[in-house]
Amino acid sequence: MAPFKRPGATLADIEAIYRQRFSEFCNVAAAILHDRERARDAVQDAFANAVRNRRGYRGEGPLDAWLWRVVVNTALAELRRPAAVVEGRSENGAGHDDELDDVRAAIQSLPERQRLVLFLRYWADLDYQAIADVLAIAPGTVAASLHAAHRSVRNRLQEVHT
Amino acid sequence: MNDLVSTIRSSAATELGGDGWAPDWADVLGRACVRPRPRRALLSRRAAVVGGLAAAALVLTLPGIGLGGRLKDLVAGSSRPGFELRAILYRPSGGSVGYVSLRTSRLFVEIARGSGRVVRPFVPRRPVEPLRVDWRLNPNRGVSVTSARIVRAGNAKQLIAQLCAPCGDGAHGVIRLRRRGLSAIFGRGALVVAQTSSGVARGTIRLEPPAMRRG
Repeated sequence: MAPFKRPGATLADIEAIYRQRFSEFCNVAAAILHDRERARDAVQDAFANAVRNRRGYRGEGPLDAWLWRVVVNTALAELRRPAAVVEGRSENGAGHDDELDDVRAAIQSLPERQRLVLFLRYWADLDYQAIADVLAIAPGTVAASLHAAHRSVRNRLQEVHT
Repeated sequence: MNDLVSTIRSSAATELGGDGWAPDWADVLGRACVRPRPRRALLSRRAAVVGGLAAAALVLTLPGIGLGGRLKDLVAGSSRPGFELRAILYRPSGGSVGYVSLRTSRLFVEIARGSGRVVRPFVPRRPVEPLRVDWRLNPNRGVSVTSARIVRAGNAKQLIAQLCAPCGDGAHGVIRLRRRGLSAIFGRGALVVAQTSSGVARGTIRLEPPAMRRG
C-alpha cells in the first residue's frame, strides 16, 4: 500500500528550489518587468505567496513548475498594475547597442504567451516540458509558440533593418 | 543554434546585466509571516511558558478548564490586552505618590480563579532572548519624578533596569529583560525606586490580573 502523502509542499522543498534557481527566477521576472529591483521584489513576493499557500500544491506536476507559475503570475500581475508603466530599457548601463535594442523591442511586441515562452526558454533555460508545466499548456503548444515567436522576431528585425 | 537564437540569448544576457542576484530566504519568510523553526530541542515545560507567540498574552484559569470570561475580556474587551505589572510607589511615611506600570505581551502565566493569585510565576530556567517590556510612569497630581529604576528586592544596589533620569511628564519607554530580570520581576523580587519631589518612594512590582485592573 502506498504511504499516505499529505498534500502540499514542505517549506524545506520550497526553500531548496528558491536557493537553487533564484537567479533564473529573477532573470525571468526582470525580463517581464524590465526592472531589476521590481523583479527581485516580485520574486520575493511570489515565494512568500507560495509559502503561504503551499498546501495548495497537490503534486499534479513538478514542484518547480508550480513555483515558476507563481513567479510568472506575480511578475505579470506587477506589470499590469496601473502605476507600472515600463519602458523597455537596459538596466545594466551597458553601451548602447542598436541591434539588441531592436531585439528587445521585437520581443516586447510579441503576444504575452509567446513572450513568456521565449523568456522561460532563454532566460530560465527551461525545456519544453518544464515550460508546458509552468504555463499549463501542452508541450506541442510550447513548440508552436516558440516557433511563432522566432518568426515574429525575425520578421520584425528584417522589417527594422530593411 | 541558429543566428536568431544567439541574438536572443545575447539580448537576455545584456539586458539582465549578468547575475548578482542574492537570495534572501529570511525576507521571504518575513513577507509570508512565517517564523523560522527553532533548531534547538523541545523546550522544557517551564521554559515553554515563555511565549514566542505573536498574539496578545493569555491568562489561563485553573484548573485548566479552558478560556473563560477573563480571557475574553482581556482580548476582546475594552482593556488593552497584555500583562500589566504594577509597582505602587509609597513614601516611607506610607502615602502613595503614584505607580509605575510595565506591560509585555509575549508571556503566559497561570493564575488562580477567584483569588487572582499568581500560581505559576514565570521562572525561566534557560537563557532567553531579551523580552521587550513597555513601562510608563504615573505619578499622582502634583508629584514630579526625577529618576526611577528597577532594583532587586533586598539589594538596592543590584540594578535590573534604569527607567529614566531625568524623568519628564508622562515618562515612558521600553526596557529589555533577560532571565534574571524577568525572574525577579515575576517572582516579586523587584522594586521600583523613584526619586520624587516628595522624597524617595518604593514599590514592589506585582502582576495585575485583569479582574483587579482598573481602567
